Amino acid sequence: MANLPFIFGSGKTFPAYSVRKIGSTFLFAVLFTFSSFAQLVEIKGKVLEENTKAPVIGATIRLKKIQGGTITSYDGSFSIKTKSLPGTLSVTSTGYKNQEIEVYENEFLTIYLAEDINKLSEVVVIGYGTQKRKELTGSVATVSKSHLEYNVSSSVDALLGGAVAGVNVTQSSGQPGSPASIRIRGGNSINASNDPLYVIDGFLFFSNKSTTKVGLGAIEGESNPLNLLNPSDIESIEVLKDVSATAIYGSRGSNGVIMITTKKGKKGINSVNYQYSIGWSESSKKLGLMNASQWARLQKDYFLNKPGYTDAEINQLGTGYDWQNAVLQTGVSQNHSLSISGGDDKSQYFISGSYLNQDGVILNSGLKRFIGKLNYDKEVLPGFKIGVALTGNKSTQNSLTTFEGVNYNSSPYSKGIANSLTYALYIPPVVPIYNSDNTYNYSNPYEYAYLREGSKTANPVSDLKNSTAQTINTSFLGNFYAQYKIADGLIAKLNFGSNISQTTQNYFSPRYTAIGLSTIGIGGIGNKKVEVLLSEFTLTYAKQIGIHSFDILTGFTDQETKSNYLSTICSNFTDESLGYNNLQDGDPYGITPYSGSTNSSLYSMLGRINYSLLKRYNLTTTIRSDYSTRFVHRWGLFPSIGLSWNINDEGFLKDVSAIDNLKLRVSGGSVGNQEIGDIDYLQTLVVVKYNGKTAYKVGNTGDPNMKWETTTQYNIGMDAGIFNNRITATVDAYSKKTSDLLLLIPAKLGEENKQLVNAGNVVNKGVEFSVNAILLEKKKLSWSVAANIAKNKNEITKLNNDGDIIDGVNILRVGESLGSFYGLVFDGVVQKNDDVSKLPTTPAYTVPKPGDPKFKDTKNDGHIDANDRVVLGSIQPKFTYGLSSTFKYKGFDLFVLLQGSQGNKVYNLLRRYLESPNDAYNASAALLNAWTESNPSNTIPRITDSPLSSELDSRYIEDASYLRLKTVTLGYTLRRITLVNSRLPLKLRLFATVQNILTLTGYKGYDPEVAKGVDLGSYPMARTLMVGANISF
Amino acid sequence: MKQIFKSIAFIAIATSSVLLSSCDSKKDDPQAITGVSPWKTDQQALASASAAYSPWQRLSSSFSFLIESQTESTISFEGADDQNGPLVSLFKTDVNNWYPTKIFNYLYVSIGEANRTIIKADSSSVSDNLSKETISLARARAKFIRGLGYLYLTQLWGEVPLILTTNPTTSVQTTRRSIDDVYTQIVKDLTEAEVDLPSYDQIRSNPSKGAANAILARAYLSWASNPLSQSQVAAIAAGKTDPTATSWDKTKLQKAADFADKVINSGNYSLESNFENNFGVAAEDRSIEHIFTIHHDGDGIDVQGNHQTHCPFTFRFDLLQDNHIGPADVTLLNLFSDTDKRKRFSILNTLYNQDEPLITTPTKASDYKAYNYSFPVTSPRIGKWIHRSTTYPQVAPGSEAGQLNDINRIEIRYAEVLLIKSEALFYLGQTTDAATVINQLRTRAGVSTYSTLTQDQLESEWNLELFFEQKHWTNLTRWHKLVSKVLTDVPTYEYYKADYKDVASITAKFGAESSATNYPFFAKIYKHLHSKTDNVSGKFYRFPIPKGLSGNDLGITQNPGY
Repeated sequence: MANLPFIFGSGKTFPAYSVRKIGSTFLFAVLFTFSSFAQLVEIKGKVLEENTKAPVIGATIRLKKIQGGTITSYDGSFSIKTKSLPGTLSVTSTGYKNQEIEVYENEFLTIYLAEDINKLSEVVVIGYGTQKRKELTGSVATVSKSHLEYNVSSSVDALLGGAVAGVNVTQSSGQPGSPASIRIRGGNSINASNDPLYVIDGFLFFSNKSTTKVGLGAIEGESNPLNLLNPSDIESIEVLKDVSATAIYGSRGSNGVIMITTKKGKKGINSVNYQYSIGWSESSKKLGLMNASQWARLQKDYFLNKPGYTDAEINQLGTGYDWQNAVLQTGVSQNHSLSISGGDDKSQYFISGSYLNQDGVILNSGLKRFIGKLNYDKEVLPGFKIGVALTGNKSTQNSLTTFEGVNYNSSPYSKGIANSLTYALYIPPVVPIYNSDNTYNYSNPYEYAYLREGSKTANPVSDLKNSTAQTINTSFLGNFYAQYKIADGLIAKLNFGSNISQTTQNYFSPRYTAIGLSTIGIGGIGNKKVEVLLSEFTLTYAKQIGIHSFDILTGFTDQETKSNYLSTICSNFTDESLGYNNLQDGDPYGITPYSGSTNSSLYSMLGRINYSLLKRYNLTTTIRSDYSTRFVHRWGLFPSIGLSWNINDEGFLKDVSAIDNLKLRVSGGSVGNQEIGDIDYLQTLVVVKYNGKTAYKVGNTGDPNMKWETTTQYNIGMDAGIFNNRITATVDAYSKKTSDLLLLIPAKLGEENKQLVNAGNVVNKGVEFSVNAILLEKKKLSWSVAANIAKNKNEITKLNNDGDIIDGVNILRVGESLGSFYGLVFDGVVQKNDDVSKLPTTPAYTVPKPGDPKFKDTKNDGHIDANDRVVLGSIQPKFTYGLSSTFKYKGFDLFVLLQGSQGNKVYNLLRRYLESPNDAYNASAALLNAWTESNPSNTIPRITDSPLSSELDSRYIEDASYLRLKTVTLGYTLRRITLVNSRLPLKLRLFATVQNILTLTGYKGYDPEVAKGVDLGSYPMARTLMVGANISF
Repeated sequence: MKQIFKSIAFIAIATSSVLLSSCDSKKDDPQAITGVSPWKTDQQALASASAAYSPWQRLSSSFSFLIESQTESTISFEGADDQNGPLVSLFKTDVNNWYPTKIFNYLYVSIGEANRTIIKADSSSVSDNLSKETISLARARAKFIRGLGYLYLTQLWGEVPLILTTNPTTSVQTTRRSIDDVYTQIVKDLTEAEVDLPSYDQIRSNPSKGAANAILARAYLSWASNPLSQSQVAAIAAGKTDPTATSWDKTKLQKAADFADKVINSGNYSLESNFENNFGVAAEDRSIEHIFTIHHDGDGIDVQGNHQTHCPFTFRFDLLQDNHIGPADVTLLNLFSDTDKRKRFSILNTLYNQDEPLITTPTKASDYKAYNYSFPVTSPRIGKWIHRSTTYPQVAPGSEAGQLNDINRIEIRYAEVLLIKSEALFYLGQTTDAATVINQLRTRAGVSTYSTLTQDQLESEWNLELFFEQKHWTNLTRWHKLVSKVLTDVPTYEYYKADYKDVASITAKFGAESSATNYPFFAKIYKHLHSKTDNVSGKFYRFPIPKGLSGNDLGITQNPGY
């Protein structure tokens, strides 16, 4: 009997265990009779965290109705004496749900505490330290544990979708391994980066997407620098949003800061966690295109019938060949993650390794990734601690070859052909994919010039199978610290960190592929190495004097970034069989080899004082001074102040038991943005060749006055918790003004390239609201919901000379948002009974005919031209929102995540091309409803072979609002299964996840998440089903 | 005490290690060659001047699309009809068209580089590795190309901004200066350049005194025609009539003749005895007739290969594919008499494929497979930029690799100088002398000479000698004949006839299609020719002021009608 494991859980029991429970109840009854004779019984036990089985240190143990108690030691153990049993033990610990346990005998107890989600964030990670949430003055949001656990994602940035109010996550490409775009409280900048700063275990990491681009071009998409983190290794994520929180990062704080803390070993217990998942993905959408019959009919009715079809032949053609389908595939992904952690009172370790192999939904695309991680902390001497956090990874991303977004007339890109996917959409469905002998068909008689050489044309299916567009990134992130307690409360800390990223891109397009046709086969290799070295020295002093408590930080940091690159491109190979591995076989192509190096330094001095009076009135003042070599004017000073008031601690609220927390926060200050190129301020000269000799032409025009972009911010916020913190809510309102905006001015006459200058101001104003509610909290049943919504208004308040800057279809105008589109307003279709003489004349000064599109004559001069353009909306959402819900019943858990965005616009350029029919390419099925005399459509004009206006019009600026059911995860946990040869209790969780299962949107393209606002057939988002298992013990 | 000592030691080590890493000021220096770096060597000075020449590489075939295609004589099937090339040839050019955008902007990019070189030359001092002569040469090369750039700009757009410094104000960048101001600057630049340029340079992509004088002659002839002002174009923009006859400025005509004579009398240039020796890679830097050329190395090597090869001979012997640019009609073959030695390089309807020899050891052109560029499959091709067999000029490689876009573009050759002189003399009333000059060309071509000259003969000779050498539109606008030429010539074309309206009408006339026929192609030509006559108007005396290279509005007043 005594050998029975006697474990008190958090109230959850499982069928497999119920027999034991009956047994123990019987035992209680038997023991009860003996207990009354016992004298001063000693109850011994251990308190462990329910999921990780890590010891809970400092938990309070009390016996009910008896004075006194004890707390758990470093390994979670405790001992408490009582006169008699049975008794009731009360176990409490900050961040965990309270437990009461009936004790009937004095056997060793193992008590598991469950996390209390609402109280978990009692201590939050802030810049260069931690702080009690109660004493915070800034706006700091913590990503919930359930989000981290259940929102299955292979990258940390995508994981943030819908999690935090005011953090807008856009996954604009379905390419495995590509980064998400993250905007915290709108975009401050136009041409400096709007990406937040990541601080990974104290290391300042700017996720610079150019790190993984070597300058070869021709390789589509980006490889995410954050691929070095495995989401399963993450312990917590905090988002610093307002200036009181971010000012300590000075010139790098203006876009918000995301603090990522990875898991560490816990004292006293070793645990092992292994997770495997397998998933299947397919494109979440297909575009409606004409089939063979419809396309042939279009040719016969509106064009010169180049194929020469008769009506009978047209009818026989049927659906023809589905090129779109042929380039898409079902991608399979597999993910293994293993971690081992543990430690004793002097040292802790966390070791993990993971392997991800993910196929994309387009042929031959995918990602393979290995990550290894070690965190180790040791107390060498009392008060002297050292530690390392090391991560190494290798990721191999296979993506699509692409035509660069260059504007020259003979480029297929100028016709809207961006890559093999878009080209597949364009191929007339009468053209077979394969020849009768199953070889690829390289003869498309309708292709004009772009992808034709002689009689040979490109075949996108063959292109995808035979081209190489590979990005291999190997990176290392290591951070070492040594910390010494000089005196009571005075701690000196030294931090040395390094991030080394080595990227190789391999590219090869054989002579029969789209890119290889005109170049007679082309390939290249590029390498780039980026090294970041960070050294920091900080001193902190914390002291409590009566009702005053202080926490003072000062420090000095130095961050050095150096990158160098080398690439070589060759073409016209004698033998293509070795691909890019035999470049010497080809002829040098363009300016090759190409090498270069840039570096930048950032020196900083920082200081912060946290002061708290009565733990009720809190003050944070921060100052950071940065020196950055990226500017002409290099010193910047970034101060901030934040105040908070814990109102619920005031006498007048103390007796209101329903209110557990009520806090008011205000903050103000300024932060900067330095994320531009290392030498954008200089006029640089670059090499071209002329007449066989070197010519040095102007590359970057330069600006002799370049300085920081500064964002001055104000924030007012309130945090509240009621009903025992079962409902918590946070509301914030902010105003941010970015001045000396780093703006890329279009090339002036006589210059070839755009130039970055400080010109203009942008204001972001918004409110954010988030609420977490535990709707049910029963022993076997719990249900919580977290919701957030954020509204942000972005407005340009000043520009260069306050004149408009019109750049293609975009306009920068005072009073409008960044990312505004500029074009004509579509006003329906001219109908037969319209009085055409009263309509404005077309841009070609002709009178419109029935079936022609109508445009608004906004200038009222009877003529449509470029002067009639107006702002057609912008890429800025009016508001973004997220909703997640975690439901647990017995061993089951169900997590649902919805993410949405409202009011953002996307320029559907691909649709514009597909709705402009011609005699070479397939067209949108929408044209089947084009205006004819018998079908007086008011939305789709008549089919003609020449564009009536080459200006953008409002038809193609689409509302890309969406509500997406992003993730649904269903899990079932089998707990405490004892392994045959081990007494270790094992936890097994089986789960299934579906992603992007449902999207409600009016957007007509592949996907409404288009970060840059122009959709030219980006890699479609995947709909994924994943199943997996997680074993831990 | 020990504790304090340990603490101090820790802080000292930590601080020094941090400071050590940050006190190295050298690492703050940027790794870049910058615009403020002074010239230290002759090579740097010349590399700076060359930067003003490389933008021209982008424009070689673009000039064809504007100066040839927006006339009666060529059509463009560069892609579907909504593409930039076809839109110009359909007289549907607008502000968004890439070709005017490209030429306008890249000419200014070249001018920007030239300005930078001129200013740097003025501030450079002589040293061991940098000679006074090289500084002067770099400056002269920059001034030459700036002058030539402004000449194209004013010919194609009329009044244009005059940017002469490296950091111009917005006002300078947007103010359209009078045509006389622009020509004054062109003459000043070319005249000043002429002083420091060598009298002759074997490498014809390097300008010489001869080049400067030849372009001065061209500029004076153009200026002498009193180019239309903005208001004069506005008056005719919407109509379908040309302006009244050109009124010539006699002083400037005399200047044109004088500068032409400078070239002629220099003794450095003369006509090739064989007209055909002007063309192909073999002629580069060897032809005695070449005065100034734009250098090309081919696609992927220079900024953009010379697509004067690619565009008029796009698919080589694949006759069923639509060529990018070509003669507007089969009847243009008749411009040349069969005895005119210029004919087969100018416009051809037969070519032999070098890659398809009919016998093992070919000894004559006809030992290769012949292809006919004719109805009912396709229409004639322009022949000047085709890479041909070195042995047989009627034979050409059929492969992509054999048709490299690496022929230098001829900006000006001696024959043009003769034509300029002839035209200047003609309008100065010296018609007999004008005939004498032109007769040099006609004699070489093997056609009859003139004792005196008529206006038609003069205009015809320009076209015959410099067919598809990007002179046609500037000639027609100088002569005020752009609109009338389209309206009178095009309706006489074969493919303008209603028979070619659509496949049904062609079939009705010529019988059913077979695999060898390409009737939709002729219906497409019909459509293009009718579009020319339907859409031509006075506004096409100028091209639209385009947008900037990134689609930005340049803030310059638009030309009439766009």
